[in-house]
Amino acid sequence: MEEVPNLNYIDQLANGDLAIKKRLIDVIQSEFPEEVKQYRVSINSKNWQDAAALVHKIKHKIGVVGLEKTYEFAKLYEDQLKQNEHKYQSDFEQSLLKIELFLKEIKD
Amino acid sequence: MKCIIIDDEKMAREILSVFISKTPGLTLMAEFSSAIDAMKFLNNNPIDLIFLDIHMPVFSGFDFVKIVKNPPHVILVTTDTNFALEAFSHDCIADYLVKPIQEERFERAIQRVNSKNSQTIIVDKTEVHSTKEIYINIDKRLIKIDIVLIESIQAKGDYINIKTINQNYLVHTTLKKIEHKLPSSNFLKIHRSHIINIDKIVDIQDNSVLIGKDIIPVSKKNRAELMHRLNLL
Repeated sequence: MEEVPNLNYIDQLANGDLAIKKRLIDVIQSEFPEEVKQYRVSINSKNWQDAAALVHKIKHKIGVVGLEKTYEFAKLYEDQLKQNEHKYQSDFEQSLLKIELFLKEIKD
Repeated sequence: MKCIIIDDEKMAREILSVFISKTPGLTLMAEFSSAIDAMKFLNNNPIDLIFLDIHMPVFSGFDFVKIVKNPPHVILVTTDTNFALEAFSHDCIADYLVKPIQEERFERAIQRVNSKNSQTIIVDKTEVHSTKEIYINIDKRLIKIDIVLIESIQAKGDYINIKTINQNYLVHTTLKKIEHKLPSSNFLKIHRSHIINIDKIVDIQDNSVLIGKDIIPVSKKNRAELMHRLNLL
């Protein structure tokens, strides 16, 4: 079954405290798009090492929104970029779109 | 314990600050997105514990640990599990947390730091470990062994042979080093070449104990202590 982004981890962490939940969501909503933007710049300029470093950061947020398989896949992609390869680029970017959509949904 | 967070990712800092705020006895003094800024702070502010990201631009977590003088306890925080070996080669590193951090794992890391603190304070007393597992280094791999599964440990030259109920491990270290890592409530050195898990004794005869299928000698010097530790009828 396809993985679906969720707020389970954040809910568990906030433990009913709405202020904490809001703070965590605010941070992911501001930090994730910025990192994705930088990632795309690195990819477009074929700067694979910078792209790998950004995938490394993005990976954490993939885990935070509960996409465990994608998290593991991101590890492989990060290693691939370190080798100046990017075979998994398209699949990884599909996952980014999924998370972007999810973050937009919870904002609205 | 006064602590700081060093991580270039804001999300990671926020999550850690939530865990810290939930933990009695932990006070977050400051958070930093760069290790260099943290070093300036540490020069003027005594800290007990640092949550430290490994992957940071310019100055990595490991660079920081190598350079900072008299580092406090450090809990590494990373999404990369490939650095475990290097992590545990630094004495100040108490634990290694993988992002996204799970609450139970965070609590265990704090227990480890507390346990290290206790050891520092009670230098002359037998240490008390709350850890349930020990990691051994074999062929550049860190292998976890549940302490309760250990039956006995035998010195073999420059190595020790750790016997568990289902497997043996030959490790390049000394009996003395592992003795300090095991809970003294269960483990006892009964001979210059043998440490045993008292809970695994099957029977005792004259100057030997039977553990599993092994007959292990008990030296005269250690026999009294062994008998004292048993629940004799």
